[in-house]
Amino acid sequence: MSPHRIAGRDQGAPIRFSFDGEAIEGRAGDTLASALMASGVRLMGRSFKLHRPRGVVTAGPEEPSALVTVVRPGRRDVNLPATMVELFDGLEAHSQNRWPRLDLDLMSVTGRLGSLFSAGFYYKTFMGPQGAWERLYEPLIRRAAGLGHASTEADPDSYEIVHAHCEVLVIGSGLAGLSAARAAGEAGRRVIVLEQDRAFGGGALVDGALESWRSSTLAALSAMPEVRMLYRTTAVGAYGHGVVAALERVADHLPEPEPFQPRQRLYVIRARRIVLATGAVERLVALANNDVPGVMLATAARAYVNRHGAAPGRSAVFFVNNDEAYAAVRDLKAAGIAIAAVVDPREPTPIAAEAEAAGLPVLFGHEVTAVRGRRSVAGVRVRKRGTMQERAIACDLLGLSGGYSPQTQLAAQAQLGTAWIEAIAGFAAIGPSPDAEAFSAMIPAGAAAGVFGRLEAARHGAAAGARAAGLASDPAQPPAEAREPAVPPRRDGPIMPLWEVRGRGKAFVDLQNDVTADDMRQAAREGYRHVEHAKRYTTHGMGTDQGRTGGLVGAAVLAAAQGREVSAVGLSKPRPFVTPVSFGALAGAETGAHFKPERRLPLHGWHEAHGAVFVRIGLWLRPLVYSGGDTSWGPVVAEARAVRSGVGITDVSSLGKIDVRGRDAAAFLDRIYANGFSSLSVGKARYGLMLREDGIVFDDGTTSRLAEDHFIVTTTTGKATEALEHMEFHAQCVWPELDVRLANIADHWAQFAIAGPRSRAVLSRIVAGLDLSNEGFPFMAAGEAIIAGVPGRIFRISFSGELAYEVAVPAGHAAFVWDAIMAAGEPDGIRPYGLDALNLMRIEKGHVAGSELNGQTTAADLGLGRMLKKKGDFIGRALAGRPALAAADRLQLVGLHPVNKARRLRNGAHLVSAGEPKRSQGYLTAACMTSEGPHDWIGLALLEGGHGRHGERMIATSPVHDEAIEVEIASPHRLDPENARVKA
Amino acid sequence: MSKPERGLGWGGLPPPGHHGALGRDPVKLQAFMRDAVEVRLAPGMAEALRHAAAGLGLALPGMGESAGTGSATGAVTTLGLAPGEWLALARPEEPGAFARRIASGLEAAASVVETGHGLACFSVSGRAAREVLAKGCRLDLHPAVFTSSTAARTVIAQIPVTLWRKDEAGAADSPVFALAVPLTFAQSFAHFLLGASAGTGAEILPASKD
Amino acid sequence: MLRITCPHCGPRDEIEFRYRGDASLSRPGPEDDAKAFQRYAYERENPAGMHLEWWLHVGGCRRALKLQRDTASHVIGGAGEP
Repeated sequence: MSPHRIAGRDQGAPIRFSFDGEAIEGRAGDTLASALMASGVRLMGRSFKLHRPRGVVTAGPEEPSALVTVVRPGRRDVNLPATMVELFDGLEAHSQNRWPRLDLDLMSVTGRLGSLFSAGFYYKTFMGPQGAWERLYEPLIRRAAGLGHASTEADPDSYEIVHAHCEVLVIGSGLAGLSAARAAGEAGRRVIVLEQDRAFGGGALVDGALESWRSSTLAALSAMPEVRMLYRTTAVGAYGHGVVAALERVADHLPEPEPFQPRQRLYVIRARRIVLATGAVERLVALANNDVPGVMLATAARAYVNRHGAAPGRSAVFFVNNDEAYAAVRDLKAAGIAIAAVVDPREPTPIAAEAEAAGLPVLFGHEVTAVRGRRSVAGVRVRKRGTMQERAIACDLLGLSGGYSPQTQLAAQAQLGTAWIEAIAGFAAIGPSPDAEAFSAMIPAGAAAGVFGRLEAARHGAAAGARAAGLASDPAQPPAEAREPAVPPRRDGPIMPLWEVRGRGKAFVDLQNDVTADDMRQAAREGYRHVEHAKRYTTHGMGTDQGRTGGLVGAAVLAAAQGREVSAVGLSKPRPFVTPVSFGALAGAETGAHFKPERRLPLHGWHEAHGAVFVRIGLWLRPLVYSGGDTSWGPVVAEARAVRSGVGITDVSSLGKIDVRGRDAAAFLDRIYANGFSSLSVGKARYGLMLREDGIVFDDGTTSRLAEDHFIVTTTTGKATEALEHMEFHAQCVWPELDVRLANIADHWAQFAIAGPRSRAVLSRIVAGLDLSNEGFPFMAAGEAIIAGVPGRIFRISFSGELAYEVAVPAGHAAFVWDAIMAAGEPDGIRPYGLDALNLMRIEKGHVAGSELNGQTTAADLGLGRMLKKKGDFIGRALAGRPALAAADRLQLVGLHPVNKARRLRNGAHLVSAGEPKRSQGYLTAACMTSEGPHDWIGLALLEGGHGRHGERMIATSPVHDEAIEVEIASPHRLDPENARVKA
Repeated sequence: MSKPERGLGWGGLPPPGHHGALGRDPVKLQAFMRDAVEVRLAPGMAEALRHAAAGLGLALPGMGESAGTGSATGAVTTLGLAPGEWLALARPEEPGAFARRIASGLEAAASVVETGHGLACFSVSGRAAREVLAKGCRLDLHPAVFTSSTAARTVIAQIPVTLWRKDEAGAADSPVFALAVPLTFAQSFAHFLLGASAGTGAEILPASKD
Repeated sequence: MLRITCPHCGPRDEIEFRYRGDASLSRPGPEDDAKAFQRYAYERENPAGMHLEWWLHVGGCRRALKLQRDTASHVIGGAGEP
């Protein structure tokens, strides 16, 4: 057995792992920190800025120093506290921030030059010349400072987000937490308990006197079906309204996740009440060289001895300012570790005096002034307080205890508030105040609330649990004795606030960020008086540990430098997350192609089988062209020509479709649209333009009247969701007096456009119950019909500029009807056309689409100004009339073509005049090859005062393509401006 | 011309069989089809609607008051989705027949809009159904909260969902949740269900009209 | 994240709702001019404190709620129908 294992302690099965390439054997139940400790490894990393040798300081997530990288096949996790890395067979861990090796770190020269690297060093030193920061200073600093290097490979693991609900959420499973859970569980409440450790019990895990209580309480809880216990799960943020996020490390203790299981799971928990039982974290004391490996918090030393049977040293000095820490001293002594001295700055308290009487060498009224040793503690210097005479005591372990800081981060996030408690020299969660109650639903309990002592914390927790369960807040009967730990009441003497012992050498207040007490004083001198300012200037309290062990110590030094009380200076605001969370866990399953859901047309399978190239627009996957993968203009032009010369069919099912009914449906649409609909006859369709209240065009589409009180509104694909919400909002909130009932029918109806001079002939073969002749069903007619045996609707509307119909049938019949139309159209050479051909034809026709309805254009800009009603109110009426929206130099819709017709035009190219080549006067919104000439290009553009500039020549310039093409401005309505074709 | 047969309108779940982890009690996943209409009360017609609905044998839960309840009467399941607003679902019939029957029965008391072809329906059943749905569903599905007569609209995996219980009475231990999503989201929703059930395992059943 | 209690659907996550702005405003009428609409469309009090606002429950019942929300603390005072 390793000499660093404590004889007689239960030992788990051997587990093999490696650290910086060296094969080491640990034991089941070990953390990486305890396994390294038990094999005699002390040096675990180099510090962030100064490259000083560092070892393990704590036994939990508050670890500031022992940060490692864990490497698995395809995976590389950095900046993990060795205290939280559970050992598994084959674990490969590496130290960080050293070069070339941990024991020979050439960068440690920065540590020797340490006095240079004081607060604000980077800001002050690396100034000018211009550009030097990006090119020179930052790359240099990044090489010298920093922690682990993340993987650049894709993460092979999966993550999931789970939504949970409970009546009582208990955060923490120590004495207070388990007692609260039991009280709430016995009241029949749905309870969730979160524990960040791999075992439940908190402080009870390191206190042998509590083991029987711990196991009986856990047994009782496990018998309650509505109590859910989650371990390896850290509450990482509290968001008010009872919402807490918690991260479960499902597989971080395994070589890789089990099949079909995530690596981590993020719980979003909605709780009616929350018991905050997060306990307290021991504080360090700022003194010279308090970062040398072998300086450790007293409770951490106790945890390694009691939980892992690992010896943190052979000969220990303790420097403690409170009675609580004497439990650690006793347990180390019992484990056979020599106690060289207990340095206690206080007068004897009963507990301390008992310890002395039991044979411990206690030096009352003394303090440790410095730690000796470089890579490992070799001893300490001790003096009587108020004197200058020091003496050296040899040891290899310094157990520090500067008191205990309640873990109040989540309370602060939930706006619960904290208060300074003199008895513990710290801030504890208080409340809740009635105002906070409405927001946080949180009740602090145990050490988090400043209640120390085992029995006291258990009782406080039980009361909080009962209160959270909605039972009487002050139970007349204390909890039954069987539910309480069999330990005596607390009789600790007072703590002596002790933040710093001034001496020669670096006295750290933040080990992770290499922030010293001198840095805090310097910040104060330079005017960073507020703790938030000082934090940002010095980086005190940042990083993976968020300053848990030294946050208050640094604040106290800052306070002293300003002659203020630490209670007045306070702690910086702890924002989520309180411990690091991987991006993977936040994303859950919504990654890569599944970042957003995808919408597929009901005929997606048909399009796919017929060579469609799909394009994703918004959420939709739509056929761009049916070419089997060819994305050149050839197939697009061929599709458009087929329509213009014969007949084509395209799937427009993605359009928004809203069923509008009610006595006031027409009056409602009159107000929603800028043009009128009450004048529309039953059986007719009309193009409608919606404005926003500010007068800008919002959306357009065709609306048909099927009955006096029944309309079908179509919106563009892109604005379908917004347009429906816009209409619902106005129906419910602005004009609630109108009888109008809206239904979203977008997905019920599949809709196809059949376009081209042969479209009537084709449809006539399969439509029953409707006279499709030009007289019987003229342009802009709408009606119901039986299409290929399926009841549906037909609208004679056209986006292509040709004779065209849109056919709507219930989506479950879409394939059947589409196939029937294709069969009926076979003699006429019908072919499907995609979005590119659709777009090509609308550009030729001069119809506007999404790139012209861009949230900046008015109806007048688009040449649609005459559509606005002269009489009656409508959304956008008043503000559309503002003079600036009628200015002559506004960007207005024009058509254009290159002077050399075969020159390719580009969307987004800017229009400039030859005389003023650097001033953009507008830009192309659409461009395509036409269906007419062999290789002719045309485009649409928004151009300053464009309506009056037809015939003018300009330059379409695209500097990124190094192009400047001469173009001629023209009317956007290039094809059939008399609109004869659609009426044929 | 052949007789039109209603299709699912999307690609469907993977072929029947086991999916995901083995060794646990798998959930059952099934796609199914419904005819559906949205019923909206006309102003001032509550009494007339109650009367007309009774004539049709149609239960309108939470009449005019609140959303969140469902009720099945014979072949028709009716879900209250908002005050004065219901979704009525029935097994597929001849095209348009269900909507015509409801519309003619309710006459002017309510508007009746056919929406069933726009819905892709799924059932998720079994002991682990709640655990699976919790990976996307933000609602509390605890049997004491989401009872066999609860219905709700919510958002799962960024997709709007209508959710109700489809189980026989007393099946709290092994609930059957029914979820209807817009048809065009069906493939993405199926992806969510498969991902969410991989950890517990799932048995995929053939698509059904029942 | 807000938890908003919809009068029809019960407590729901914020993500189900679409914020629709200040509910203390009412839209000017058919006779009103651009000045009145200017106030309606653009001018806001932006209070640090209780604010009356519209939220549309698009992920649930699709009904609009009027909500009292404290913009400084996120405390929600209550929700009701229009």
